[in-house]
Amino acid sequence: MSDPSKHVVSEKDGTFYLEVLGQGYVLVKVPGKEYKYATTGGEQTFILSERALVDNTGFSEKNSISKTQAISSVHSDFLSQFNDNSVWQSLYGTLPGLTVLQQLGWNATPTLYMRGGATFSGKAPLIIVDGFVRGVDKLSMEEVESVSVLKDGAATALYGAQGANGVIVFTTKRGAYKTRNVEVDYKFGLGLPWDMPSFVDAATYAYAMNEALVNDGLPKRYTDREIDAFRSGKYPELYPDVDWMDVGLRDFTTNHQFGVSFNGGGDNVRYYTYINYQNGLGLLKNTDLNEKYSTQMRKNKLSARVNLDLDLTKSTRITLNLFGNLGEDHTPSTGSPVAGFYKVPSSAFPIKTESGHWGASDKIKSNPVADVADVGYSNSYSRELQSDIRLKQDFSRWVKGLSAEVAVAYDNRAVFRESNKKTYSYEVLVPVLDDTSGEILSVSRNVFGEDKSLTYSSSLSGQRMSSTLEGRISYDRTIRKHGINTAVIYRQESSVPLGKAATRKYQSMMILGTYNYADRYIFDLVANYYGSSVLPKGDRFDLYPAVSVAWVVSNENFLNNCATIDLLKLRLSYGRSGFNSFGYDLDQQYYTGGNGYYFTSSNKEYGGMKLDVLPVKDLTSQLSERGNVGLDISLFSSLSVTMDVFHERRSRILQSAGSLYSSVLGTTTSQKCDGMVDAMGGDGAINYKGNLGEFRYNLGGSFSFVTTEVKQYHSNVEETYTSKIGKRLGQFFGLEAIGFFQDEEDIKTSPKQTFSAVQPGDVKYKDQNGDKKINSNDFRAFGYSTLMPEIYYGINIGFAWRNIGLDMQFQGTGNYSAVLKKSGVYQPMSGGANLSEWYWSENVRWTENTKQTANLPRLTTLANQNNTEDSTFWLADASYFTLRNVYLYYNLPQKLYEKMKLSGLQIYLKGENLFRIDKIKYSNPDHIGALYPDMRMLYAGINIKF
Amino acid sequence: MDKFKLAFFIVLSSFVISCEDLRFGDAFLEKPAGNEDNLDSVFARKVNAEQALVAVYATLPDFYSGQLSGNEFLESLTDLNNTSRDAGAVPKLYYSGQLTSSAAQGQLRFNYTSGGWPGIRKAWIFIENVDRVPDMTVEEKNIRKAEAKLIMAIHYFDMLRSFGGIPWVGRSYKPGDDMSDFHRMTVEETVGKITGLLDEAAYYLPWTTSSLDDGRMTKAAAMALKVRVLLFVASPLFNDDTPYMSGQAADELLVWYGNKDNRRWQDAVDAAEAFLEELKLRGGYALVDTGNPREDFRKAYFNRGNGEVLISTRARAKYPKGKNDDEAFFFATNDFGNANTTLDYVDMFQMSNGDEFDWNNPAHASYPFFDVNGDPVRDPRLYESVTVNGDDYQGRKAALWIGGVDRPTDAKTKTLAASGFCMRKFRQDIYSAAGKFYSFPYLRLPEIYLSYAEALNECGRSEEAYEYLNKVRRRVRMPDIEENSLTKEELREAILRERALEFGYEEVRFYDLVRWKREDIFKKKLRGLDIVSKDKGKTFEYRQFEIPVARCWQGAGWSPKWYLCPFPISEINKKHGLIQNPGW
Repeated sequence: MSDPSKHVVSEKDGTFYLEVLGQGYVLVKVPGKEYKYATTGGEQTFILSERALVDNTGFSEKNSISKTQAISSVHSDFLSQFNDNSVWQSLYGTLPGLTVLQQLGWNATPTLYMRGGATFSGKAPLIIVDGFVRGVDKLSMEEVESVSVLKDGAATALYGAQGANGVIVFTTKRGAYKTRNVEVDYKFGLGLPWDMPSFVDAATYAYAMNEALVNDGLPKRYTDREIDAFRSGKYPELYPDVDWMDVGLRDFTTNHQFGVSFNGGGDNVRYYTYINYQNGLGLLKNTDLNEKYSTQMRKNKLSARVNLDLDLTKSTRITLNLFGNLGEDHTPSTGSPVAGFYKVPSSAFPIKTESGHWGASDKIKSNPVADVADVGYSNSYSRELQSDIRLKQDFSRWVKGLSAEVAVAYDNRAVFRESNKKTYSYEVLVPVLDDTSGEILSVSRNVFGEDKSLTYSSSLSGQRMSSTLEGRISYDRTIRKHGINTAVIYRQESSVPLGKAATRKYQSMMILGTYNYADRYIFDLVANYYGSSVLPKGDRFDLYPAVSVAWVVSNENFLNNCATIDLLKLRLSYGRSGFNSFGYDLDQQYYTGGNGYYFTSSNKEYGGMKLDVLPVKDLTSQLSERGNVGLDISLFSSLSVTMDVFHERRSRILQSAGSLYSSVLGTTTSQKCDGMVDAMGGDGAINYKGNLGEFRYNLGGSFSFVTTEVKQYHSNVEETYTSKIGKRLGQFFGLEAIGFFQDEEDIKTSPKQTFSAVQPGDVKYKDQNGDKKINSNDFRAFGYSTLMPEIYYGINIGFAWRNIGLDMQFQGTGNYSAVLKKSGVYQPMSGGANLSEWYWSENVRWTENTKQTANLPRLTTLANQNNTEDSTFWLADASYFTLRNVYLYYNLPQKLYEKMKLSGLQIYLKGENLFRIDKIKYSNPDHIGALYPDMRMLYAGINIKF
Repeated sequence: MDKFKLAFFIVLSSFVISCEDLRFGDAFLEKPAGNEDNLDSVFARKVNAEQALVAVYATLPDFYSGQLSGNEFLESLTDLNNTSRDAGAVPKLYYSGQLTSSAAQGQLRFNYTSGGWPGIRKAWIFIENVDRVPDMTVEEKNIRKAEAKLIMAIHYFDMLRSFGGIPWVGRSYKPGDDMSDFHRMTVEETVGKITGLLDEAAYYLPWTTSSLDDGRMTKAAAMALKVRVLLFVASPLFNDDTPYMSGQAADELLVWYGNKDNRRWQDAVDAAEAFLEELKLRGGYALVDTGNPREDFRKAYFNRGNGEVLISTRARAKYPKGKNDDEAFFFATNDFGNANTTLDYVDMFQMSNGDEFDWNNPAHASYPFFDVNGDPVRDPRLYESVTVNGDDYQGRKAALWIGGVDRPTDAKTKTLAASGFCMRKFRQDIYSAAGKFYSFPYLRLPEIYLSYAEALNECGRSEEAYEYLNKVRRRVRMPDIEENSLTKEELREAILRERALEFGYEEVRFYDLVRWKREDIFKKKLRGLDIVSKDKGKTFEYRQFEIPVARCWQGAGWSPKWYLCPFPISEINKKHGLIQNPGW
């Protein structure tokens, strides 16, 4: 290795021939990694311990040396441990800088923020699959080779006016030359709802209702006899006690996931094929009332992928990717009718009345069981095709290092929805009581609604056609110590969904340049001239430049022989990117139809035309300017650390300027492109791998801290502390609760609370500005942001001993706030809402007797605006620590599977969301208001390799 | 292999071309085709320019406009009507006293942010651009511009009587214009601007319109509105020795003139005389009077193009067809109690012979509405303004006794006729109004007569006032009030009462009480009437009761701040020079 310029490229099978003079070492480079081996002379075999791990920007691959940007990646070796029917399940806390927050619901996908999502709205990162803007909802993690997050200005500049919110690049697997692998995987899943609230029984509800009514100064609703009747169950029709959660929801759901992959290749062709089938059932009971159809929620998905690489000649390669998906989503026609089971008090009405009608009441006119069982069903059928083809021609024959590529992608997706709906009849029962004795004299029975037969309707509920055309010319050559890699890329994208105003087109002309001096100093330059169709004509293009540099200290001569340091590298970058999420023609003012008027004695209507809202002056895309400093360290071939510190300024955010202009202008005033948000923080990852004999272990973690500060935001506030400026995005603002009013005297002597009339037992607030009034001027910042945590981290622990292994992924958040608003659970009774045990028995509500110890306000049946205002009373610490994923596996001994003519056989168990430590009872801190239950998942599976 | 390559290139390029008809640069980024009518194209053709003016008309106020959220009547803030609902702005913000400057504007009796300004802007855009229209004559343009100015004046006046002096917007604003200073004009300046607009409008407008232009603004409308404006500002709210309430806005003369000057009454007299002279000269307008008082009175407010309505506004095409009809938009709330007429209003209507109604008079008290033969005994306007027990109603007799069809219980809240009465104006018995053309009589001829009478009385020409007061009474065949039989104060009261009788539910009473600062009437506890029938509607007993719905200003909670509306705090915080009204 006296001559570093002496290098050779291996054959496809990995063999190479190198003439070495004297003693030295061979440096084996694969993308992302380098291995040093001392020469022994003669034929040598080098076994590379790991697969090459690269970062994919969607335009090119970067390895640990050539990367100058802040990009975090995770690869299939990790992803496959925790894969699930959602690609997001293994990404909680996995990629530093990417905040993934769980959402609950039948079809929920998590909320994503990249480094704080530094804009007012529309914070979702851009998602790229195999180089093109695409959805990943139908993808299986099994077919994904890597996921990279582009975080800094240098990386996001590649995506111009779509890049400012960060970019998540999914890359699917590809075949390998001269191999053939078949893998079959099946797993059975059980979903177990957890962390669900429980509600009081009917007698308690009736008793509490009386208490609430008395509090409200209204007559009691139930006599003691009636409360007894609820308790005794003597008249189950008139005084029912229905545990709706138990009646309506199953204790578990089931699902099946089956996948087969074929991958391999010959001399000129490589292929990767993956077929995936999944189905899953919902949580509902009472779904088989009708013989002809079930109303259980059900999902089916069948997808297939073919990724082909063809080497037409030595210099011509074609890449072809096809992905197709067929999906069916079946639900009752009411959608996801889980809410009813939370909302209906157990005393409200029986499931069915004696006459066979569904029960309901004057106030609650629908029966939650009937909303599942007797409403018909609806189906959504989705079909999706993602296709792209890329041709790469190497022109090295004429100019060494010159190549050209052209690529086309065409995706099409449609969702067709049909429903077969019906209505049902319900009966309202009201007992007529004797005034004095309280005996039931008779029952008034009234049937409402009609029990109709199914009516059919159908519609195209979603559609998207997108196409991308890309061409590029690249020049990539290393002359002695000087590596030069430049490319000119032209790209145009068009996305046409249902509804013509949603059409978006983008176009970019980009120059990329890299200069690499001996793998020590690397300079990257991006100049992206990027146009968006929503911007004003003639001014649609912006230039998004970026520069980034890296200094690979470990490749300096003075560290060359240091065996402990595998990699020591400093990175520095600055870059711009943009974002525009607004509609067309904001810069134009058009006449649109206005209200008409009636002239003439025969009352003829004349159409009106009115000038629309004022145009936006200087309409432009949001501008993100990001600076990033990074450090990559790799030691002892076992420990790797990456750390980044960044600052982002997002400016030119389009925002309402209504607060600037007087209403006397008489029109909706134009918005202004002058919002500004700063985001700053740091993120990093650490991984350690080691072994003690046959016991192998790894420890790793990712950590992100990001805080945001609103710099420019238009609002009119009387008190400076109510201003959002200088605060976090999504900062909680509320009144400061200082206890409960204890008596009328207390109310009289306290500042007047103006939200609704107050009485003892209502929440008392602090007068922040001393004006003796509690109103909108008394809201101030408390806690943290309710949108996203400042601290977001993940911890991975893995053990393997012989054939058995256990991998665990923990994830947590910190500096995170939530507001406890959930009708029936945290805010019960008012407007006929349910009453939770949390409110009733686990805490102390305010009553005359408990006024000293109460920690919840009095019960009320009315809408109590005063108590439900945002305040510190409902503010909760949303930080949590959870075990997201567990993977326990056993690889059958080689002897055994070889006997079965297999090349691998594994059985495994997986678990998701198994436990969580948090401070909020009965809710997932990431999604407080959701009524769809949080689910624990358990899987048992088998994986066979042929 | 080369052949294969060539074939591949062909396939690839056809793929490229077929899925994208290839365009580059701005051509590729063109937005999908859609509406692109702009200022230039609209004012390039008469037919479009006319539509721009139609949109100005569409901003005119409407009696059921939802200015008070929840389809509440402005009359519910007066002694004429009560709402017994618990929803809507009147009970929640006004009666409760919870109204503050941060209340949502859409709920208030006048929506400052969207009530007048959009119409003014649309009018300015029309005025500024109509001269460009090639296929309109100068005369047409002048008339249309004058219409726009008159509508602007209506908006300005509606704001003047709700807020006092307001900012002047003298053109339509574009982005980039200086929009930093919109301070309030004084009352005097505001009045000057409004009368200026009206004079300009009157100059070009025709006195009457053809039936083709029915509903458009006229010279008569402009001159009549001027009378209303000058009468309002001559009244003591603005024209007095002291402001109605002290505060910065009062100090800066934004809510009063700063002194009391009787010439302001004379201005109102002059405006009325100008109108009446023109009327004498040109004719075209008269009270509906066919000798059938009750029907005449109904037609007078209900029918469009009747020669009596000087300004009508037409936000809707027709009255809803019926209670359960899809179109039954605004009458629905009547059933929940927004149209409970008070007994105080009913008692204002005299006996048909001109005697005052008196519950202590046994003859009156036993047959307050109809005599033993079922003939009406009161001022005919009572029966057209208020549905009273025993009147014809939906093809039967109104049964407003407790237990009767129209008042099933004695509930005092949230029901139709909780006061024992229900509004009849506009609504009629629902079926007779259903499907008829809709319009709101913003300003009727009798108001000019009564305003003239009132101004004359204040100017010391009381003896001339009686003629105009009696003109209005004669149409409904009520006996004259004998000339010079009343003192100045008595005559003023008589005129104010006549206005209440004539214009119930036409949004006149509230402003009369405000401009005369009638604290005494606002504070009054109001009454309803329980009608008890032991024989299912044959004979009746009458029991007055005090309406239990409390208004915060009745009694000790009174504050003169209620005369004018608060400006929204969000507007004040914009710091363009807006000064809040006293008390808010």
